[in-house]
Amino acid sequence: MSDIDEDSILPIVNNTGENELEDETQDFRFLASFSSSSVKIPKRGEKDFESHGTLHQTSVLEASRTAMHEVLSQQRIHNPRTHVIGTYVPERNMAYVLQEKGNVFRTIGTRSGDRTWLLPEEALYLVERGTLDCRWPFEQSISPDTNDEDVEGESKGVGTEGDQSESGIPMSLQGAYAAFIGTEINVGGKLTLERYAVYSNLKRLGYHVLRASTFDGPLIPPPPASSLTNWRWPWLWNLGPFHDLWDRLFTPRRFKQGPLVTYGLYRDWASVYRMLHLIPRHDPRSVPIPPSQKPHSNTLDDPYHIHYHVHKPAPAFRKSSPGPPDFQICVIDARATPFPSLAQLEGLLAAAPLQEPKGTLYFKLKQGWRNVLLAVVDNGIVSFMRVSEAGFGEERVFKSIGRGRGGKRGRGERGRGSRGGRGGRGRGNNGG
Amino acid sequence: MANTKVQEPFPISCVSHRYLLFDIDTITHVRREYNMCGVLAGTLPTHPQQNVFLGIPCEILPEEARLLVEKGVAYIVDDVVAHKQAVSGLNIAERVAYQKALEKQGVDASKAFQREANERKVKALEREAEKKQRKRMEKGSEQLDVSALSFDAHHDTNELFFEPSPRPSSPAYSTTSVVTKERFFVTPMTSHHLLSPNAPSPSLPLPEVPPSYPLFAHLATQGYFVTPGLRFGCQYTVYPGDPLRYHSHFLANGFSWEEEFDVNDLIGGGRLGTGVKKALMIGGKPTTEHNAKPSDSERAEDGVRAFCIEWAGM
Repeated sequence: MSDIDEDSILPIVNNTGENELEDETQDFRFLASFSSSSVKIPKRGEKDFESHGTLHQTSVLEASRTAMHEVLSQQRIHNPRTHVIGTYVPERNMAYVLQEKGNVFRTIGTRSGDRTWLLPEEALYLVERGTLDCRWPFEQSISPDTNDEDVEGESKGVGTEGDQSESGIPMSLQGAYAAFIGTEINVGGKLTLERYAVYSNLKRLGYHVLRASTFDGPLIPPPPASSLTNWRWPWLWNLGPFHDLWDRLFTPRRFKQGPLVTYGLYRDWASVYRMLHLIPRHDPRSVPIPPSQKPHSNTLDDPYHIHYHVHKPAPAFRKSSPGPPDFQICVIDARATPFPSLAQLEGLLAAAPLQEPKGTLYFKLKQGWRNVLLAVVDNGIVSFMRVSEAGFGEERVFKSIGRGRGGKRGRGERGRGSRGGRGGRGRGNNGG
Repeated sequence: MANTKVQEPFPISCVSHRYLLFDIDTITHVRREYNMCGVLAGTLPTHPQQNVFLGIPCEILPEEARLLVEKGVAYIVDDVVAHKQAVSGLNIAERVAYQKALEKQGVDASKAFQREANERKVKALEREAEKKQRKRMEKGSEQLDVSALSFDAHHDTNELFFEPSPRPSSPAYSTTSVVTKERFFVTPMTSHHLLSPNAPSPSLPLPEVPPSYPLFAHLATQGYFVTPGLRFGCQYTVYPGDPLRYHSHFLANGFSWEEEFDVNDLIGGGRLGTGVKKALMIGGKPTTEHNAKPSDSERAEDGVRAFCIEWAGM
């Protein structure tokens, strides 16, 4: 029923077929075959190009609609054994739980004293999945002519189970949206429906999602102690200090005129290629300039900052010490936000931690040295994009070529290189 | 079931400038009568760990909300204000009545749960009996004729269910009595027991819509299903019928009439659309001297022109 614990989460699949499945309108008839015990996701139903007015088509559509209606009519019921009561606190737009039950609280909520406080998105998510029975606070629902019985009920405490009249009146799902999303602005919170959509989307997939420190807006980080950042602006045309040093010490002197590769003794191709390396590049390891020091970034209403830290589901995960996140998420409203400017992207990436990419060349380029996932929300539909700082200059492509030609003779890469050359000529001849 | 009548005008919840539907009957009604399906965004309580099938609330586009209001079949309710008033303005009697209603739902739910559990148990036992029967058959008398077999199976199930041995039956009985005593709790989908059913007297302003609204209204009044177009990089994906059954035909972008756009967008959209067996549609409403200032009687969709672009692939 509703108390399926998080251990039975679906395996997170990254292939494209899965994404396509989510992208299409699903036929709810197939949900019947999709029980919670099996992790197999039903196949997409056959769809038609257009209506051809047959009774068959009409009846199939009718069946789908009926199935959908039935699935959506399912109520959120709480078995007394797993019943968790939360109390809404309008002043903070949060809810608290006195008695935790079930696995979900291993990764959700903050324990303080005898209460577990739930952020608005956490409370709403738990209400929505049928785990939490949230109540309007009792104080609010008392009219002036309160009788003694009710006051007594209140003093007994909100979390006592058994008699419903002792705690506030149950909050409906509609009420929960009105409360947790709608009144958020009154308490100065920054939770929007878009952010909630991303949060619940990731939680449904089994990820652990925590608010980033920049959830409420970009922090103004302390200016970095090193003076490097200042003289290295603009970054695009600067060499790293180590690179400079390296150049000065180990490369043969370069003259203003004459060949790029000067006369000298070269033991490998790499040093020749290094001589050819003229265009300065951006070093992803360089200390990024914080957005506050940027001339053109508007930090106040800049939507581009990290909102959520996402952790892959791991049994060792603890909400008290989550460790470094696997993903950084920035939530964007597709209808209201233009594509980020360079300054915005810079600021966004500056907040992400530096991680040396590992793996094959193309994977490393895609992964980047810093990356942030942009979660773009268009009216409830969520799409994830990765923005990463690709270290093209860090990948010494010439190294592998150099090894092939200059090193061991006549094998492997050399062979491939010569074949490629012949192929190129061949194509040229055909074209002519 | 799905033919429940929805009384018009029906409320559309507005929560921080987003438009939501919480009532399943309204969602079905809007889908059937007005060809609007919105986006289901909520977690299904029975299947909370997946993103393929989603449930209530249904987030509808501001354009959809506006069109429904303009048609006079819906009105916008500020859910925050409504709930605040409803919850604080509740007197004791009303509260007790509300709780009684929920209590009844809870008791019904627990009864239904009990019934289902019993049914599951019966089915499981039947399966087990069948399995046992099959095993017995394979082991022993392979020469048994069909009538004897069926009689035997029948007898076996009878034995299991109607003359139960004391060991499996007693816990079943005890749980029955316990669970019916403990009633379930219900989180209702909507607050319609709490909220007043009437439209608010100072009606909320019409939902704000993007400049693509005339094209949207044009398509929606033609009977097309229009959904957000994020997945195809356009403003709207346009379906000829219910997206449950049909593929979409158009990727639509609405513009103001004099708005300039990059021709590369046409090429890109046209290629992408053709690649996924759809056509790129652009459209807008001409601004002539005559309708520069729209009169009250004029609707947004009047005079909209739409064009389709397909990659010819020459």
